Amino acid sequence: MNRGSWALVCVSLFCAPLAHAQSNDLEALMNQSIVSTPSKDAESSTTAPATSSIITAEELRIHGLRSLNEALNYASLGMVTTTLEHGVEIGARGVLLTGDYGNHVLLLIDGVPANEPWNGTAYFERGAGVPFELIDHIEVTLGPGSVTHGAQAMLGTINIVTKRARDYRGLHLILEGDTTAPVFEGEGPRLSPLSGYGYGYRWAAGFGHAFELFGLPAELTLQLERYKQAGPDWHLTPQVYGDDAVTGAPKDFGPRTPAGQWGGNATRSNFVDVPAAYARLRVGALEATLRAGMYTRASPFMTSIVNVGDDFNDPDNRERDRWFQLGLNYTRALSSRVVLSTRAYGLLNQYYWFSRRSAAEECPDGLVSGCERTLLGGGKSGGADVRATIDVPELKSTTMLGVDSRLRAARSELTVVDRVTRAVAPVNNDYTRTDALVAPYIQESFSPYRFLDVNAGLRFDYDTRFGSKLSPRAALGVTPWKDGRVKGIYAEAFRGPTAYELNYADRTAEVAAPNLSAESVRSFELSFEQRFGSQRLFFGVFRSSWSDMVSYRTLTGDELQAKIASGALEPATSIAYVYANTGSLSSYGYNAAYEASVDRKLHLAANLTSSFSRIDFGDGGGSRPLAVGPSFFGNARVSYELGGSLPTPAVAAYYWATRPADRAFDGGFAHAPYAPPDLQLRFTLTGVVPGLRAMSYRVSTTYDAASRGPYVVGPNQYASDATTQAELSPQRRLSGFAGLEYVVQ
Amino acid sequence: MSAALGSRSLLTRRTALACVGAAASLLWRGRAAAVEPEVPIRLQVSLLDRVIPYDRNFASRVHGQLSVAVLVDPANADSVRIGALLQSELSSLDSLGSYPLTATRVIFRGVPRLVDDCKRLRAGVLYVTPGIREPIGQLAAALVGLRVLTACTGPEQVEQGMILGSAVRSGKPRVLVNLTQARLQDVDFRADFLRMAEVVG
Repeated sequence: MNRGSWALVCVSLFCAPLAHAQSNDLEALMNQSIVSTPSKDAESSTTAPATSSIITAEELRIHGLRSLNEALNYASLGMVTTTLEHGVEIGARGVLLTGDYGNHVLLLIDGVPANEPWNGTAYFERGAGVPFELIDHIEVTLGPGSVTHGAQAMLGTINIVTKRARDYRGLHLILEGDTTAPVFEGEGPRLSPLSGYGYGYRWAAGFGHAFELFGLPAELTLQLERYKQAGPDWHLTPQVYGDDAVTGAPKDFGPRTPAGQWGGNATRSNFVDVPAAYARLRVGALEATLRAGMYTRASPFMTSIVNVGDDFNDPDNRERDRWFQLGLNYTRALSSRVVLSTRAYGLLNQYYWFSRRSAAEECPDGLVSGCERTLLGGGKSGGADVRATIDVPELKSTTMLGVDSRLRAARSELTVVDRVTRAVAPVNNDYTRTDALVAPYIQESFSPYRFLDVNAGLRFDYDTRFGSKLSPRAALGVTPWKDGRVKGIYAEAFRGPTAYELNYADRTAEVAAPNLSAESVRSFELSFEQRFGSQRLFFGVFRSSWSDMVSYRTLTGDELQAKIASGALEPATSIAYVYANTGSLSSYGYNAAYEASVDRKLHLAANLTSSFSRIDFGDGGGSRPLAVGPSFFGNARVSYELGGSLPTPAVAAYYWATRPADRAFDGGFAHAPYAPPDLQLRFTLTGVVPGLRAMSYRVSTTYDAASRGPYVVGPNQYASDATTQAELSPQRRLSGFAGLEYVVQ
Repeated sequence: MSAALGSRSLLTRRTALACVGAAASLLWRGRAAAVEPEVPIRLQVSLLDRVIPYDRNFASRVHGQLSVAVLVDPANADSVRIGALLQSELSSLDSLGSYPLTATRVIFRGVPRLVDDCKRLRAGVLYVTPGIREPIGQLAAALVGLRVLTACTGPEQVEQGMILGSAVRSGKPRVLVNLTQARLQDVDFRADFLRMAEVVG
């Protein structure tokens, strides 16, 4: 089939709804999304003061989307995630800051912040710990959102909204199994030999019930689940590293690879285990949520942010997060004009990282036999958000006044022991800190005419971590004609420095940076949306500029001597780093989206983002493109409900253009490494088991056309005489899963 | 040491009691808690505007001029608040379902008076706000035979006898219809509308 034929097929596919479109005004309204993230009140995404879209439960089910990163890649507008085998990184509109551990995106679960208090991290894969069958929809809001949600909401805000009991009635029993073909670096998928496959399973039990309690309407939804997966085998090209800088002997990457060499067949170091529970209880206007779980994972390869310096294929090297979160929400009408809403929440989180390093150069001085490092980072946080909404219908005005307050305690403990003698090394970089913030905010929504909406807001944060920050937002929405919408939005947001950035120190290379200030972003966007019956077209342009970004800076000679004199660095230190607010970034581009349904059976959707972004770390290297994240990416999906007992076939795809690898600009390679374009396709069948109406099934297979991702793997992260070419991270090429769900009403 | 532990456990017990008390207080007050419509009021009114043309008998009921009665119970803050929002939204429209429109606030003074008010106003649509003191079922029973389209702001009221309502399903607005009650009030929806709506009764 030539290009012309492909174009004809595509045009036919996307013109089909136009040809069948009824001029159906009601359907246009019913296809609008209701969101509550942009202004903390339920409103149509069309009129909301932000670019906001949703991923529905039906889309998650029909397209076999089983984790947050899959949902974002296959179905969101403007957001993208990359994976390092369980370590997912997230970006939006062409800005992905590799190594930020997801702390530029705010994750809410039923409105409760899920970013932990130590490093601001949220997990955007299975580590989010929300059972997917419980999800009603996922709201994805692009751009700065600090005016209503405070820190972290720089790239965007994701709000996972769980189902009401009426939509999850009965007892749900779920069982799924998955498999992945072994990965051969740089090669296509191989189905044989029949060994080295990865296997995983998930079981879950969910429950939804509505009842009366104390004479009030009440409902309970909950689910417990466990996902466990191991493998596949990763055949990684061996890399010759050379000698250890301390011992002079070939560098030791552990007993599972020859001395002086990293790589080979990784058979034991790729696994994930996520037991998780989520529950929501509503009694009258009081709502309580509980989230608890544990996320253990190991990645088969070494990159700049995973397994740094660790032994190869060591099954003991792993990361683990544990969390327990409670949320309470209560809303009460104080009068015929004033509604008071109160949200209180608490989070306990603990991060654990174990790494075994046989190489002396990866360990503190004196540990020539290697070392074992255990890092514990933990935090507790509690907060309350109290707000009053004042309606003045005569003036078509709604004013929201609120105060957000939080208390956060974070601690970090690093223990390093000699790998052989078990003697504890004096690393001395433990720290604890407690911080508080208070943030009053105001938001005014004014609709003087039906065709005009104005939204303006301002939030003032005072945080003992960094001082104060103002976050304004102004939005203007106009409906120039029926079912059309033009929006202009200006917003600012920030991210306060994390406890890690403020306090982490390593006497051999890094000093603490207690005076860091907050990162800032300001953004302007203009968008146009038009609905034609069951079809929707969206196009928007955006520009954002970031300042005071936290980056590493090299200490000057005088600073180095001063730190050595004060004891912060060891006397032999020749170079050391410190976090500083030196970075800046600018980005602009466009988003486009299209969705349609024909006869409520055929569903089509596509999203596209193109951007131009450059970052300047303030290190004298000038500005350069952003690495890892794609600047041109999109997704598309189509499904058709055959009806009756026939299955619903669905195809989803996402595409990322070529993008610089993480070491493209600082690795010193003669040819900067770039990841190839990536096309991932997923085909899914869903339906009811014939003769057993209470049981439904899903079968899905995924193919990735790209063999490599945007991370340089192995110890040779930088060019040398022996290493002239970077090895990029291999990717899973072929995988699939099958699952059953049985519902007892 | 043991004294310190004793005072700590006393403190913990007090804290627990305070938490239980606060929760009980919230639950008790929950009887007067705010009822937030799932679908924003503006969108509800727009949905009503586009549903009306699907009612085959609507034209014969309203005779060219549409009177919308917004039922409010002054004893309930939610009812008054949402009634005011509805009236404000309706008053900004020139027409509803392409009929010229007048919106009137009707104070709830019991079921018999409500029927009289609807007749007096020649109401084509009765919009029932949440928080009316009488059970919705009783209202619905009294309205049988009255040729009026009843609309409400939440899904539960449709199950209890209101003809039209709305809910959010997976982040999208859905129109809910009580077809049994519709027939009893001379409302006859076209089949193409019923394919899009969720029939709950």
